[in-house]
Amino acid sequence: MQATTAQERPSPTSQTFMQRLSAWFNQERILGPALVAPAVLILLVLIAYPFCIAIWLSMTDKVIARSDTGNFIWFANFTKLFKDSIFQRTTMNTFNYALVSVFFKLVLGLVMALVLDEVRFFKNFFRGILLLPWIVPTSLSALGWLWMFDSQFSVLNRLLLDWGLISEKIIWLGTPATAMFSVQLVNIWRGIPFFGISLLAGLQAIPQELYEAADIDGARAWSKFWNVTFPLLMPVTAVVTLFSIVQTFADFQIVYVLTRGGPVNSTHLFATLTHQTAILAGRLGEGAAVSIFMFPVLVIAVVLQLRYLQKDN
Amino acid sequence: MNEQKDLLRRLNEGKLSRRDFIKLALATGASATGIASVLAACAPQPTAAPVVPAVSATTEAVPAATEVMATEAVAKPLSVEGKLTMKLRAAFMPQGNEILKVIIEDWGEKNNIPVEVDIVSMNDLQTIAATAAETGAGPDIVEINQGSAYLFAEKLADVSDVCDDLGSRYDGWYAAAEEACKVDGKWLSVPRFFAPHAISYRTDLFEAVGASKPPETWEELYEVGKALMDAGLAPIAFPLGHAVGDGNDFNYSVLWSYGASDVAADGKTVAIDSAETRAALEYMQRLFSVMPADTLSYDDASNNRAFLAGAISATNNASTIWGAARNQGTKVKIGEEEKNLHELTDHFVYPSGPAGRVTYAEFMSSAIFSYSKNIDAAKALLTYLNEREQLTPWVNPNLGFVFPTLKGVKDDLLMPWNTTPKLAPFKDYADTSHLPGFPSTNFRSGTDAYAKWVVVDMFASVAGGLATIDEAIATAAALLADSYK
Repeated sequence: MQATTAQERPSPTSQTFMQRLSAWFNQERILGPALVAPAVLILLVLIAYPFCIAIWLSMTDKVIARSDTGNFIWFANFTKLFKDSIFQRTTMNTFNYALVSVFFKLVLGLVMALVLDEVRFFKNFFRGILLLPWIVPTSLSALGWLWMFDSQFSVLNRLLLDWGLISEKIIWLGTPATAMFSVQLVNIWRGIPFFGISLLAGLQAIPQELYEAADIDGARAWSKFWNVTFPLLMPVTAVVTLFSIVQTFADFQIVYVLTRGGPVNSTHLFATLTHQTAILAGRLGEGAAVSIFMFPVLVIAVVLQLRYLQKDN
Repeated sequence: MNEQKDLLRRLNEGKLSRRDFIKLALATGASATGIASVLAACAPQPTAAPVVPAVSATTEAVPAATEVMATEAVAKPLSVEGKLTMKLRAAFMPQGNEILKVIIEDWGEKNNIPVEVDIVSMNDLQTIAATAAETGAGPDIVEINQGSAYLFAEKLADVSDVCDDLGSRYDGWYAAAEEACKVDGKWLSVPRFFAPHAISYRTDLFEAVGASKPPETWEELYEVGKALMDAGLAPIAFPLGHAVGDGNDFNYSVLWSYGASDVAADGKTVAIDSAETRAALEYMQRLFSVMPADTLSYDDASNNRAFLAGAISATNNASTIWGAARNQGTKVKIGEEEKNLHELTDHFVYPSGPAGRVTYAEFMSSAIFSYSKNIDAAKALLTYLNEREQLTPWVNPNLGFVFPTLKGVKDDLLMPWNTTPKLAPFKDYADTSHLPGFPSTNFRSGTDAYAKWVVVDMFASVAGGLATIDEAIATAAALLADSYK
């Protein structure tokens, strides 16, 4: 606004340096890139640069603190990983973890959005409180869950026993199946609000007239959902799901806090295995290869989603 | 006299203040008579009885140590660029951390050197050290665990002068300390402490099944475990999960004391596929049948919690379960009566296997990174910290959670295992302890296998029925081949 007034002032001779500068900035071809520049810079420095380094590392035999390593070895790390039993297990775990979690987050998030949309009283209170799992730092809430899953003091076991649903304690983090279920449960619990609130925003953007028109046509609730809500919610859903897939594939904190990848590597994810390989064992190159492994999967997810969105537009 | 009694009582209770520490340092460091008077003060206490034979050893050694201290303080004024920064491992006894800070800050004041002490958890230290090694920037001193000196070898300052000096004055270093820190003939990290392990057990429950004296072999331990389970009493429980300290400690110790090992003495040949390993795995299968199944999910804190809750009757740990029970006054219900748990808790040394007693060393050392601009000051501090005068007031309130790495101080009168009979089983811990990579000297690869949990997972997968003995050995062998190649 100031800039505009500066330009309109008809006294070029008395223009100060600041005024000329703001006039220069006011040109669209300058202002646009200038505004985007900080974001691009941050992306380049904090995302693109480390990412390129990671790709480079994944094709070297780099070991922490050893100068005789760092030789370029093409894809040797990757072919080695294919034969590694822990890595094979980790790959299955990661897909299981991500796909199951994202599916339930999506379904339950949608339910949450639909319910919240109907709530008429204390709207902000409910929205606020349901966002909590997503707002609390993950490592902190994971520690809370660690207590709830504790083999001795599990409040979950206590409840289930009291309700007569189980006859003996479940060892939540002690067997491969229950441990995977447990870490997925925490991920789902944490991720639902993100889906819920995003989808709620999408829901509220759907024009009311469409529902009125559907009412006139005599549509029932289900048919309204299927023919109006669902298709119009699809773009938001696609973006949110994409985000979530990317994040869930790269998840670290929940597993690190709850199981450290145990029992017997049954909950290791790419990120926790990367930490174990690169930091604890010092094999930086191999660790980078583990973390880069999910890159193709994520690229495919991104391409599919973007295509879908473009088609939609 | 009363004041000294009071000092000793507080020391034992771990309630030592900064003022107390300085008094204690004076008492232990200034003169042999000082020590003698503290000892005289503690003589009426029943706990002091077993320590008497050690008096002469300690009083003789003290003057030598003080002399060195004195010459060092005068010899060369130290200087640093900025501050002398360090990241040290947090002990499970909070009072131990406090004392350590006081000792270091005191040294800083005396030498006019600004110090910055950060006490962090063990799991964070490894990340800090790896980042420091790779980026060439960070704290001057980082406490590293196990064989990490091998991982960071190129980036660590040579501290042979410090270690040779300390070693020559205190009867040398324990084998495990040397294994961990002496890389290719050069000391690259100054040994700091072992977190000594023994089996914490409930004397009342063991007695209830007729085990009036602690088991001496793994086999006897199984028998007691079975008797406890048959009697419906709290079972024995040993960690089979990814518990960095307790899990590795237990599983490696069983493996080695059965005469098995992951690698042969040459440091290259994978040796896990052996009759000894099979015997150890068969034993673990049986042992697991008398343990609660949740031991598969135990982390380092789970066994402590379960023991403190009265849910288990024995587990391997540092002395921290007993220490916590005593500090917190934990009660346990016996019938209608409430009793102090710490009074029913005692320790016994790790049992022996067919190959005798071979134990895993949970170990920390203090590394100085070669990028440091304060190497001289860091060396001076590390020497100072490992002198008897500083070891005693730090080791004692840790109640057995830390064990010195120099052989010469374990008989000192104020070491916790000499003042407290219940901690006596920790006294010989370091004599039988080794690092992953044992019996070879390839500790670099041993550390790699350790980081991958190869041994713990092998035992856990068999115990938990996730793999047969053959499958578990084959999986371990493949992973070990990669570590030791």
